Amino acid sequence: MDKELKYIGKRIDRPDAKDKVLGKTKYTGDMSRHGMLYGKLVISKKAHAKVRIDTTKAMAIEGVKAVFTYEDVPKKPYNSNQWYSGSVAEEDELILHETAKHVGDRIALVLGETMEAVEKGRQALIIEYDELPAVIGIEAAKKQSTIVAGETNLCFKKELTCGDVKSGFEKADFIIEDTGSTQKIHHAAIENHVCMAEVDTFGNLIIWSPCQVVFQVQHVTAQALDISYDKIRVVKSYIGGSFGGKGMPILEPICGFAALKTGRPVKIIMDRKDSIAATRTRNASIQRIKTGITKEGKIVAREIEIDFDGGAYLTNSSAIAVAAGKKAFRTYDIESQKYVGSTYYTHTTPGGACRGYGSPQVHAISEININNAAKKIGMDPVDFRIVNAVDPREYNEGAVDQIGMPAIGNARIKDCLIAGKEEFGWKERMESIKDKNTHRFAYGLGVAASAHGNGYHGSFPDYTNVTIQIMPDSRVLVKIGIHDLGCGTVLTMQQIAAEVLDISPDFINVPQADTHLSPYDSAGTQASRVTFVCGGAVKEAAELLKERMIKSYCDAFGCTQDQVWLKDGMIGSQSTEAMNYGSLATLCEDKYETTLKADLEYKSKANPSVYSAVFIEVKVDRYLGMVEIQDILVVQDAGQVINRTLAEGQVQGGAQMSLGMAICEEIIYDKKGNLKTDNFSKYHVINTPSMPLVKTLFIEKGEPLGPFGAKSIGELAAVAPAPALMNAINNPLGTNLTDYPATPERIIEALN
Amino acid sequence: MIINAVINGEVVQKECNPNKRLVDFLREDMEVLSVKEGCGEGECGSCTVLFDKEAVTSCTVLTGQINGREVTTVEGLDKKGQLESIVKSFVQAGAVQCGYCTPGMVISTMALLYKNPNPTEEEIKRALEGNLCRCTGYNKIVEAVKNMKE
Amino acid sequence: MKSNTFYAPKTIQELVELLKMKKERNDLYLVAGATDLAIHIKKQGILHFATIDLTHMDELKEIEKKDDVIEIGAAVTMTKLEKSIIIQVHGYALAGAAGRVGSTQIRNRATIGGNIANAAHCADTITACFALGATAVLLDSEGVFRELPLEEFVLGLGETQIKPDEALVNIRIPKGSTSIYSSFSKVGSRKNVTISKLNHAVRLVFKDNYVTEAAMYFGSIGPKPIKALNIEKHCIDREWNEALLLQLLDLGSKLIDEAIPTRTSRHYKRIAIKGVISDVFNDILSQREVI
Repeated sequence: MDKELKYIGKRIDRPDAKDKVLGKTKYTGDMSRHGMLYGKLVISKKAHAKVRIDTTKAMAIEGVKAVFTYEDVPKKPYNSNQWYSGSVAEEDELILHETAKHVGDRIALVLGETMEAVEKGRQALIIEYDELPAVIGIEAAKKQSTIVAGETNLCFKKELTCGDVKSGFEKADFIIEDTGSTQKIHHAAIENHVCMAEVDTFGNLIIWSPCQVVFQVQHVTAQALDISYDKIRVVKSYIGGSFGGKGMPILEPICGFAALKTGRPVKIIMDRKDSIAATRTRNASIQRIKTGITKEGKIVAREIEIDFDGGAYLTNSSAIAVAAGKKAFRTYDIESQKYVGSTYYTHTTPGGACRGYGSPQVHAISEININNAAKKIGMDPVDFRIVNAVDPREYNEGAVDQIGMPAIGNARIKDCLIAGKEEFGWKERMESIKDKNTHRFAYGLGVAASAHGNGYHGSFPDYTNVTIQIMPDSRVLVKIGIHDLGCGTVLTMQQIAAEVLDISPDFINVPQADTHLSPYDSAGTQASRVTFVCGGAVKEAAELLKERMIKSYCDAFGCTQDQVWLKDGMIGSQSTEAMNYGSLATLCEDKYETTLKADLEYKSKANPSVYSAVFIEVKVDRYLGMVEIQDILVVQDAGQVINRTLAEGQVQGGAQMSLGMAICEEIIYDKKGNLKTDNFSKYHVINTPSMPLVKTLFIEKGEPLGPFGAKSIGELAAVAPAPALMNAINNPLGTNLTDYPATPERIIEALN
Repeated sequence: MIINAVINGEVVQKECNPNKRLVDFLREDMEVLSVKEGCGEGECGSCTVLFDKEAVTSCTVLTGQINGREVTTVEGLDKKGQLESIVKSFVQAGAVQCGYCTPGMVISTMALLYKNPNPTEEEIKRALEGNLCRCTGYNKIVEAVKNMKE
Repeated sequence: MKSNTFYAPKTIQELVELLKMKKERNDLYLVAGATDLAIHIKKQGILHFATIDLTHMDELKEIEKKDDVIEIGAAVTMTKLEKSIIIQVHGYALAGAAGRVGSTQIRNRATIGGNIANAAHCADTITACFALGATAVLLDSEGVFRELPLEEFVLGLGETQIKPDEALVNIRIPKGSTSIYSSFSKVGSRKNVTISKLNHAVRLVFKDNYVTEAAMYFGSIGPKPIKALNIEKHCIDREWNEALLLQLLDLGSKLIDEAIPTRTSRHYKRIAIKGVISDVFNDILSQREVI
């Protein structure tokens, strides 16, 4: 960047934070409408069963307004994973099901005047289950003795290859093989799923949803209810966390249905058990990794096979297997590599996006395997990664990587590893770590690297529309379909527009997505695309606007463009009088009959990688199997940080989720598919006393097509801490724990 | 039963099912909406309120139990002007992301600081042990509370 | 009988009157902190019930030093137990156990009476109270008190000797002397806010550095805490030192092998018990060093 940045890279306070501290922020659960009905789903208690529901008693209860079951709903299948009309996948969900296919499957909805009436109604339902055999877990699915759907439980398979794997392995001096598994993860947003719907006076169905993609909610609802897109208005409300969990519409279609059917506003609320059982989970996986290396430490070939647990409905079964596979080709320079991803149906909660979308899985075992490879030849695991890591590439339009995906861009994984090694004092710690050991406590070090992407370019439509307008009072209105999931997306957009237009971010308003007010956006807040793609769009639109402002000013005052300056919301030139942006807008309207705005349809032209390297020191209790993280450093290749405080927050929050994946989080079913971890007392996330201070370091060397060089941060943050922690645990114990999570029981078992 | 209690500094007399959970009474009968339900079993802390001057999860209190007692939420503390410094500290530190757990975090922090104006980092972490946050990794929340110490 | 009634007695006399009524009906819950009850009613979807709330009875919220016992009101909270100087001096293990129950918010409400009367197999205060030789004091609908050893009162897994017209009103622990030490430790899935997979409490009497009396219990490996007779016996007349610790660790693993020979959790617990024994050992050591 030539000019010093004024707002980009700075610590700017979130404009929404104060109201959140004061409890003034209204989330969907806090909203209500006149005459609103309350609703709650009834979810299946059985993993696989034909369900019969007698609603007579429930309907007789005072205050119960309606009970809907399979009988009442449209028999129009949909796939909640479809985020636009062109994303083709089998449609196998209904808004309520007759045959429950997992514990948590939607079987009825009770509507009432009060929550108490709803509860009474739910309890008065007489539900009979005709149990059917259930397929629980990937191994059971592979046996194919019971088929969940269609003709085989294998619902998707994808192979990705580069080079010649067979001859690659022949060149290898050593082959290192590992198997392992990752678990189903609950997103654990503190706000449970919730939705409110109402039919407005014009006949539009309005849906307020804490969602990630308003246009996806519109699309899925149009499919499920067989009504017109343009009659469905989806408004993104404040969200109490998502992490992918609120990506696919779960409550929206049925809430819309209930509002249309009853003619009254309806709000449906989930409790924690519903959120765990009836929404989505991170896909569990079973993996086999085989890596061929030379004695000098060069990786010459690798094979990664991953089987995913897709759950009871198709949802993201294909996307997860593909997304995970692509990341295998981005971190290390491996000439010959083969990835095979297969997804299986099971009678468990369907899979969905979960912070990192495949990256946490594909790095989970392979990064342990990398350590084992380094160990095999006695090489330091950081150095081994540095030797094999990819180098940055110059930007060339249309360039691709080994498997034909968009090029990796200014890939700074080596910088992450080198800078992290230095900052963490890796070498010194490695030399002395053993001195800390006692009979009971073992101290270890771990490292892991990871890659993630920046949007859908190369796979799916990745574009967005922006309108930026200068208002008469000099404020700036940015219309773009964005969804702040708590990460600070709005502020990120404000800072980008502010930097271009040279006006304080306070003056910029970026309302959140509303299908009837925001211009169309092809993919929403997912796939780590927001900063890179939406931010890129805002930057380019702001630049167009700036050009228009300069041109209009020149036209009005007869100066040349090079004489014009913009500063702190004022525009002027050396020879003419300065005016504020608002006055220029009014002048444009008065004099030229035009609005001072810019419209842009922005298409993403790249999908570079982002990288991280994580360094961890742990203390492991050989008696209790408890793990205490003594120190953790996360180095992320961010291109350019937009807001330093937000960026650190993303990395620290991502670490909480990833470290939890490594040691304590797991959705557990028994053999019959009953959910054993249905609340936070059994599904343990890391709490304050167990959370280490996460030190952060950003490599900021600019990504050519990112806004001011920026690229994604938040999803990547939830990838490498887990394998780094596993490596740190395995290091002093001499174990090879590859099944997530490394619970105290598993650690003790491995030790004895 | 008529509940007699001081809620957010005001004397309240209200007919209510005494066996209703306090979180429901506050949200439904008193329209105190900063109090959020996240788990319904005292594990997540997003419904934390001050009961007299102690932090409790309002999903594990029966409304009848507040009779003759004082219940305070961030709305009440704000009204008394007691939140200026915590607002500043939380906002500047970046302790707020989605914000759903935040009112509960604020209440737990205030309960700690009433008893212990100068807590150590360990004491802060323990005071917040019952408040789950999925966004921040807690680091910036702990930092914000540390920054509040005089 | 009208449902959703709520009784908040203030005195023992008022409580006795309510117990008379409780004798006649089965939808009346005795409640103190409500931290278990509120979860129970939500989970079970119980919408109509009546409660006798003990949190407005001031005399059940006190910790008192009597002649030879410490008397703890059933409605004393975990927070109060943990912070109480009297408990720290005369029942250190109980203060430790109370301090590791649930979260700060839960400890501010949850009571010793509730923890004991609900008799969860993993209840931390029960293990500590067993080690301290506590007794339970019950009040019936005739206003009669009866006292029995807590080990007899707790039958295990949600079962106690409480009768339908009785309330648990006090827990008494024998007063300690300067030669008595006690300690508590536990392990769960997390460091803080966790349900015990295994907990351990001891009460030891020393002469010089030699153990003259030992009470040692392990919780969460049976319906109620198990008295570790062999380990207790082994400690008598032995010096509290590293050599003894190593022997205790082995005895601990043996105890698990005997207590839960067929459960899969034994593989973990036979090692984890070394952790809780070591923690207690070191805690006693440091308590003795301070003095």
